[in-house]
Amino acid sequence: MNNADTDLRISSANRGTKITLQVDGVPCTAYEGETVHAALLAEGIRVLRIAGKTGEPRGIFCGMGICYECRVTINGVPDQLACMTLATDGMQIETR
Amino acid sequence: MKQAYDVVIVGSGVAGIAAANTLAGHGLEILVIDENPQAGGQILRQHCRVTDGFWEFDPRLERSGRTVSTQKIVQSLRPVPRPKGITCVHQARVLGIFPDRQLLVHVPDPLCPGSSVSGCMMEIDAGYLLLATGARERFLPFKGWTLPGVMSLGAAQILMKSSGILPARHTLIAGTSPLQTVLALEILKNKGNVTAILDENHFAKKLGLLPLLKHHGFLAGEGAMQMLSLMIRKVRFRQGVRVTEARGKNEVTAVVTADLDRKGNKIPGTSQIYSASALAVGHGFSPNIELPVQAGCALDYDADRGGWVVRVDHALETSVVKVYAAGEITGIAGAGKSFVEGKLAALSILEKLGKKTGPDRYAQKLVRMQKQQRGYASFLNQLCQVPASAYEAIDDDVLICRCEEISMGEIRKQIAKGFVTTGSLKKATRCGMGRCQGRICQPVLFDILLALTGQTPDQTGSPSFRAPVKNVPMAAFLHP
Ligand SMILES: Cc1cc2nc3c(=O)[nH]c(=O)nc-3n(C[C@H](O)[C@H](O)[C@H](O)COP(=O)(O)OP(=O)(O)OC[C@H]3O[C@@H](n4cnc5c(N)ncnc54)[C@H](O)[C@@H]3O)c2cc1C
Ligand code: FES
Repeated sequence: MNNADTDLRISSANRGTKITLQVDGVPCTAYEGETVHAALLAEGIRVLRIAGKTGEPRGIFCGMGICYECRVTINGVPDQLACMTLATDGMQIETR
Repeated sequence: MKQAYDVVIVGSGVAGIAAANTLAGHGLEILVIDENPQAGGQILRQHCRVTDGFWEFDPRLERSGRTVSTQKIVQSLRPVPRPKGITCVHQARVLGIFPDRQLLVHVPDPLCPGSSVSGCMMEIDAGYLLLATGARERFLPFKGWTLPGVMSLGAAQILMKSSGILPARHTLIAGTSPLQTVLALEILKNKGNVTAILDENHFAKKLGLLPLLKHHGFLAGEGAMQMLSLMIRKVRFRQGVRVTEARGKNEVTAVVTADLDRKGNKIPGTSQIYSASALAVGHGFSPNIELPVQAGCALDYDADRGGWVVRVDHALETSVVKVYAAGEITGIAGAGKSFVEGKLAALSILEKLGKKTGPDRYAQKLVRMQKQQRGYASFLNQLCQVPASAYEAIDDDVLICRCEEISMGEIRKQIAKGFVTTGSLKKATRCGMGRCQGRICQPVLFDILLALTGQTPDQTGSPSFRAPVKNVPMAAFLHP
């Protein structure tokens, strides 16, 4: 991810309390009220899984629970939709 | 949560909230179910931050009996203490509707007896059922539309509205949808950059559609104002241009376009390359009909209403008794129609239940507003519509079904073999059998079928869906 694309958080937006997620074992900052897909994007994580047949990388597409592209493992439960899940402190997220 | 309710509303968008407001105060037990973490559906999301209360629209909204703008609807929403009798459940998915309006619902962990990280299943009986499941976006697929960084226009909006996060520092916007300008303005307001807006529609097409906005003069004005403020901010705006490819290794880094002639065909030798870290694209809307279809509700096909829509009578009752539908699922026309139909469906249900609902004049005003929406619906859906030739021209290596990774070449092959109905083509290709259950590719596949075979929608056939209409973890079914 290029440097220009970090820091996507909008400065004027109201943010909840600062929390920490574990993404593939790496601690990562998020804020209460953010969905998992948004928090990951803000950290520059855009590839969420690899498509089975073609081996292509995939990331969020619809952002609203329709396309099922944003499947990640959350707290040990596989195939959770990152775009429909709110980030919570200590949440363990595994991509790919 | 109880086992039975007088009225169950599926969806808490504009239509669902308007209906719940109207139903409140009549001594009914009402359940509102939505899979989103918060109420509001597609446009009210950031205004409905999680609270213990509920929301209502300022009653003055419908007093004039004239169509209302989305902006007015959003502005008139206000938080209120939760009315007696209303229960709201979020992050719960309705998976099926069975005879006598029995609902199968996947509810999240905190509502399950005992504890279950995967959530659990509940069966709920609805005296009356109101489906207000809204719409999703539709797309014209192109090479590389599966690359990370390529997203729907709505996805980019949602990132900013719900989470306060820009889609990228620089975003390229494309497609046919009026959301293009809305998104561009939102990005600029939040201090992001818009590389360019690449609108597939020529100016002449838009001009030709303007007479449809007879009752919506304010919308034409609104559109012109949006264009003006984009011009003032020097956003590059090109019309009659289509994205033909998104390039990149692990994520999008460049986007290729072609100019279009007046009929919407690519003009050879006009390709241009833009560098981009995000591409937001969309080609209009498609009603979320999976649940009503599974429930046995009859559909109608009307391109001017967004394709297959749920058939309703004047009271908004579907072909299944005591099952009502309101909002985008009866035809795409934006927030104004969802608002009016949510209210009208609720009034119809109250009348059936023998509850007094005030003077007829009130309902008449709503019906007048509903009629005025038709012109706007035609405008919106025609504006977004992609010509059949664009589907014919999709290259063989473009993926159509993202989940099952099925290419246009495979679809062409099966159509040529004679699989020319919605049902048979799905079976022959597995297109639509993946995780999203066809929510993204089914409208595309349908348009491809019409374009390649020249059949009518009735010959091609309406889509079918079975319960569960959404994926849930197997463990949820096993939970006691
Ligand atoms: C991405 C997107 C962006 C849009 N942006 C704009 C805009 O900027 N301006 C504008 O005027 N219009 C916009 N629209 C149009 C919008 O559809 C209407 O304006 C209006 O919000 C529709 O209201 P509704 O109540 O009919 O549906 P929605 O607002 O879509 O509400 C439907 C609700 O039903 C829920 N639901 C669906 N199926 C299930 C299920 N099986 N179980 C549980 N819950 C379910 C959904 O989670 C959703 O919250 C947008 C539409 C989309 C798809
Ligand atoms: S991004 Fe489409 S389901 Fe999450």
